[in-house]
Amino acid sequence: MFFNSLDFAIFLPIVFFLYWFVFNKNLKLQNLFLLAASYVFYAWWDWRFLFLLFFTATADFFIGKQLDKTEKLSKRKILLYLSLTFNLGVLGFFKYFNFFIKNFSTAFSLFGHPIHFTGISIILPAGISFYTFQSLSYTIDIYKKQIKPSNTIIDFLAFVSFFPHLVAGPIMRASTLLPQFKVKRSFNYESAKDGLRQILWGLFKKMVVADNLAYYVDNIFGHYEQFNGTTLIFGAVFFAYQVYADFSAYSDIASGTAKLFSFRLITNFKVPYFSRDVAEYWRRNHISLTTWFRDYLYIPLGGSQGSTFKMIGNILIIFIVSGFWHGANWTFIIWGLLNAIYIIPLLLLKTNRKHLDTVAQGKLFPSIKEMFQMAFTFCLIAFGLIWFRSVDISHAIGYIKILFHPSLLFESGITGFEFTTPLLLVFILLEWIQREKEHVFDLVKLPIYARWFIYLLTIFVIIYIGKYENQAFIYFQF
Amino acid sequence: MKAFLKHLLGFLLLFIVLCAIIEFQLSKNINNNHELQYAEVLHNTKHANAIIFGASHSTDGIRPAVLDSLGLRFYNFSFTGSNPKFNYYWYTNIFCNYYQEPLYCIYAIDWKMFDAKRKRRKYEQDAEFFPLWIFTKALFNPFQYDIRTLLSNRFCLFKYNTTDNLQYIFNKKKDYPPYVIEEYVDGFLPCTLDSATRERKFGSSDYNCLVSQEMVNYFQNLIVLLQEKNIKIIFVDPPEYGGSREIYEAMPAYHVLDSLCRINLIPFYSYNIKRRSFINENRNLFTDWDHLNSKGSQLFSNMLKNDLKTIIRRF
Repeated sequence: MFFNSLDFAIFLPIVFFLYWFVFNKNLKLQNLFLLAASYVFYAWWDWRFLFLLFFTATADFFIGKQLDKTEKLSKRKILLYLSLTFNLGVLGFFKYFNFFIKNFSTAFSLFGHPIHFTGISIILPAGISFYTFQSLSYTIDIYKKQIKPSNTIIDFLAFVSFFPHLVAGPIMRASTLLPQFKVKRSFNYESAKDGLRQILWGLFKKMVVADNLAYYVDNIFGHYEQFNGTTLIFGAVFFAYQVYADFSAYSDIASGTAKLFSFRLITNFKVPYFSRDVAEYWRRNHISLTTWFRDYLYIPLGGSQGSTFKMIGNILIIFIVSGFWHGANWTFIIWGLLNAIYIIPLLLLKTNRKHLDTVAQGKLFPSIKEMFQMAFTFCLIAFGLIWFRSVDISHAIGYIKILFHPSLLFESGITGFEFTTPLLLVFILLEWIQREKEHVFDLVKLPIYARWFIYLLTIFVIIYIGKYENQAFIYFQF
Repeated sequence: MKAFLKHLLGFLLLFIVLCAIIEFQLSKNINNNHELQYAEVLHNTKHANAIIFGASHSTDGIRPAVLDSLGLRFYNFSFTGSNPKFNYYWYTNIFCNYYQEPLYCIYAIDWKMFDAKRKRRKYEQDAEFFPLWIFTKALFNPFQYDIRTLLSNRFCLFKYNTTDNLQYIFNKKKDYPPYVIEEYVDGFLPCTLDSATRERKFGSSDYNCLVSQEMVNYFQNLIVLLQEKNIKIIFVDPPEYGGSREIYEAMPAYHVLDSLCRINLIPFYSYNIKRRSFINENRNLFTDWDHLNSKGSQLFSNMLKNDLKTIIRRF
């Protein structure tokens, strides 16, 4: 079920009503109901993969229990490896099987031993990268004795499959979300109101900004050889904003929906395109994944401790793995590698933690230096995202070649920008004004009539400018 | 919770009121020919005994007023982009419930009619014009109809939700380009495009198209329904600009149509194959390569009238 669909518009009020008016007396029943609602939400896409979701989570629940029971390190390690093998095995099979088969085949051919492996047709289950990582963090945290395992399977299954964040995150840790299933939840007026606002802002970002940009992005990336450099720059910039608006919209709607049920999800995006360097960008972009890799891969590998060579190696590993997490394609790996290359100089110069605050905090305008820093960072990120969007390496190289062709100075060869560009500028402006808030519609200081006017205007903008083709969120495919 | 629900309901109420105002303005100011065709079928003012089915090439191409001189009362119930599935549902659900049984049905066929990708009109897309009971009946039949399409097309607010249509909220505009609604007569409406748009639209024809078995089945079922009621069917293939007899003869849709004509004893007047004429060669008689303009439709309707004389006498 997509957040931007009629199905969800019917599903959400029904779940909200039953949750607060029918199942509110008993916490166990309320959790069981959330689990059932989440499974319905997931099954709407393809019911067959419900079993996979159920078995992955159930396996981790029992592994978690066993981990807690035993103190013997060797047994604990075996249990942890079992969880890792199971989760990564499932993920590997569904997501990477054909990729490896294809590349093994190519490698053997290169060494003069052509072997013909046949790939198999595998449907990628929605959200598999998100829920396996979430489930995995649970067993790792128990192994590290950072959390206690869940006593009841219902709470745990509800935590893994909680529908707002099930298919595209944010990737929640058991230490943050699971305790919220253990305590009785009371309705919070302010939180619910804020949730609705955040959902509205998310819908605006998805249906108005991302899906309008998608039209041009698909056209430009799909037929890049027909356009000049100027148009391809537009394509790269538009895609950078499309992917951000699309994914952050999902996170906003997820977070807003969770608030309606008195849950808090972590903030996944903090205006990443107003970052002054790439390190700051990664502290603000897809925060739940970045921190996951930091805590479960980068730090266990040694982080920034040890020799410079080791530190560079660790950075390369987490960014390449992060790229690979996005998809079984060399373009994602190169995208990850590029980001690592952007960050390594900052680490070597020890300036990677220079910008921890929000840019131009408390001010209306940034300084010239900050503007330059933001523009430069954005250019680096947008360039990297060309790889992210390209179908394969040759596609990306072809795109980049034309991008830097002398035709760069020519007039754009595509029409319709006169509408999309101001729309994008308005979006950037709104984000800039509200950059220190959780989301743009955090407007509590305004009088009620002004707020209602803004909300109504937004709804009509969505109706008149939004796209209704039920376009899937980009991160669904990951 | 009470305060939350109170605020939410208050906001929703305000939203609904605004929607109702916009809906009222849009439904008042947007006039298109299909609304007038529905007005005829629901209120039966002309009492037509000869009806015309087809798609936009027929709406723009066949003038019922010209054919009336045959001694029958013609009405053009052709809908832009319609295919046999649409016509089947429309005939069984709307026409049969409201209109008198005609004596004749001129079915304006074309080589794209069985290709659901080219002729994409869905019955549900006309929900805006449905009487409430027909709309409700369809709404409670989710296995047969696409509820999402049905709902989004019931209200002008959602159906005409493009920035271009915003003007209709504020202006009392009557036309829905490229049509001038004042020129509407008995279901016929000439397409009036400015010369620049016309040149752009002209392009060239892509003669590749598919024949969907589903569409053929719907077409056959519709023919059976009409013939069961003793309605005499005549297939008419309005002229298109350019092409050649050989091109049209090779098209799979014509093979299907030929065989249907033989099985069901239906006369077939193809103005692109056997009855090609000067019209096919004169670009000035067309809006684009498959739509006649006002002058072209006048000439073609006269030509059709003369041809129908013989067949109607024979019937």
